[in-house]
Amino acid sequence: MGQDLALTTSAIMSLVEKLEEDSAAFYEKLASRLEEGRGVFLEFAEESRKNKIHLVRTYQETISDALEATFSFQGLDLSGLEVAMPEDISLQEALEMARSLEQKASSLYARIAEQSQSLLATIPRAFLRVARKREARIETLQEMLERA
Amino acid sequence: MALLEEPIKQPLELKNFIGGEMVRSRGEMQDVINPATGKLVARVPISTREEVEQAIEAAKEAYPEWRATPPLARARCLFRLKELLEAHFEELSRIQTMEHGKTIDEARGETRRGIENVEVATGIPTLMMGYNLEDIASGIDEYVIRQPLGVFGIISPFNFPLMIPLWFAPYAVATGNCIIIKPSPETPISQVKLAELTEEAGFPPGVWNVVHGEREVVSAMLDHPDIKGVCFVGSTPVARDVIYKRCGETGKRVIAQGGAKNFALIMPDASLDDTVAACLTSCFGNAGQRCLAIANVVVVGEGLSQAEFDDFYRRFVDAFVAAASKIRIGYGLDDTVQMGPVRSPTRKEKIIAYIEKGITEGATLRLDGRKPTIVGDYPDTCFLGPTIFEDVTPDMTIAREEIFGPVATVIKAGSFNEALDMIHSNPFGNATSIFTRSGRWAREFQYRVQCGNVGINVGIAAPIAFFPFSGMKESFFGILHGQGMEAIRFFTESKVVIQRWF
Repeated sequence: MGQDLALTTSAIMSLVEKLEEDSAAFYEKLASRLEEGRGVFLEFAEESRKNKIHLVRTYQETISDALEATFSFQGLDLSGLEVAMPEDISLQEALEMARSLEQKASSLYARIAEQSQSLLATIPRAFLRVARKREARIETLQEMLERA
Repeated sequence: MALLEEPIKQPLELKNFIGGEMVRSRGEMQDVINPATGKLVARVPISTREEVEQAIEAAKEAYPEWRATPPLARARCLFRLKELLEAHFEELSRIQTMEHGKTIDEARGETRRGIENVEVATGIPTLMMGYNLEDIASGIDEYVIRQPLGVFGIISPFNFPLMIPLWFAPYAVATGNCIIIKPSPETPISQVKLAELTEEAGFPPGVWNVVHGEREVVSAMLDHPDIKGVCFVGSTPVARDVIYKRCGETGKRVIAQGGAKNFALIMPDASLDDTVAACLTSCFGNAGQRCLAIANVVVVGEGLSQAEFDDFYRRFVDAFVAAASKIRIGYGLDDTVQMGPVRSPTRKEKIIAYIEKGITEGATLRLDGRKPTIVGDYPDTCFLGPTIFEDVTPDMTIAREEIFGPVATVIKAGSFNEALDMIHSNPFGNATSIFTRSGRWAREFQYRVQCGNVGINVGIAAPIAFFPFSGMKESFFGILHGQGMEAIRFFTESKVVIQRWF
């Protein structure tokens, strides 16, 4: 999907469901490979699954045929959201990958929240909440990087 | 984006739902075709008069026990139904896309609107309460109780196969009545699925029935003395000349919702981007097959010089056309798609005939949707793109008649009053919108406009479940409306008790 293509709310939901699921899988994989930081990675994985539930539930409870759901989203940067993890990854590399993922994700969610203002308040609020959660991870990852 | 999985893998053989059981009809079977793919999704029976009578008998039999069921117990059935609807949310939505053609966002929106009516009806222990007053005379008290009437018929159109019956059904059964739903034979699957869920939710057999079919089913409902009232949504000629008339003759209660030709006023101070987005959704959402869709977009030059008006008009039309021309058309289960097909080839032909009429009558075709680009490899049998006419005058056929497709006309009005006159000279009065930043114009509009559902900076003036779905003039025949408290009043009789104890 290019940046110029206007996206439906449904397409955005498919994207964020996948993003949270992929993120959970990414952190679970990290936890299984790296002893150090395992607890944090598992927390992130669990949180991503909760994020997914929260976002889908909010969408399903809010979507209405009378909202401008079909033409809401434009110009979103969807690059860099797929994370392929090398087999022989070091802790440092893993943390950098994770930090980059979180930066992309939190920025995307903030943009989605901004562009969904015309939908009911619950939708931008939900995206903003997840944006903040993912932003908070950056700080945690940064601290881990400094310690690594 | 990958296509979402279709919930119907093999064509379904639909049955009637009578007395809590799926019953094979003796009527002829008719194909239900997915308008996007052209594939058969179901076969629906065209039931006979006798089958309607069987359903009425089943409902009559269930009625005494159901009306005596405490309101809280009836509400529990609705709570369970709500939970089941949530659990089947995605399946129900995808079924609507398959049988109707709407996009998945639109289908989910429809499912949600339907569920909201079930949620509101769960409040029946409070909603159904009467009222009282002590000492209307010395030692005499008076009170009103609301009682159900018996069996009601619900006749629904093709465009919102799940939601429209739910404007009525939850309130009817919550108040202790029994119902027979006749879905549109074009889009009957959602109601079969819903009927299955009502059984699972624990509604006693006979409370909730579904009989498929066409005119014979409608006539049987209208003629039968045990049908106490009918709710209908469809075209104006049928609503007025058949349903309303016949219910009057037979003494039935009636809600008869007809057609529409909705106007939106774009005032010079309107927020252009937001207004264009709202007009896109309203004019082309559900492929224009919505009784609340804006069909006539009236650009108003109130307070502007001619040069300013021309500039404002041009900026709006250019932005509207540019945005509409980017709409992605295809199968609604591809969630990048923004507009699905119209329901059938016949409907497509009818819409094209209107487009041709618009050209003949001298309107300028700014965006021609007759040969759209389709996302994916699908037959073009039912697809149309957004179509926009400008240089339209209110007397043109395309500005007067309901097209029920993705066709918008843009009309100029020099003043607010001129625009209002256009709305009032049209026979319909279903919905209308105004786009403005001025509270004064908004207030003036809502005060004076003769339309049942009014949007202020809202393109689809769709009332939420606890408000009535209104309508005026040739768009509505009856007194009380569907949804919310009006539905409670429609489905109940007020009994007044005057009480004195010696």
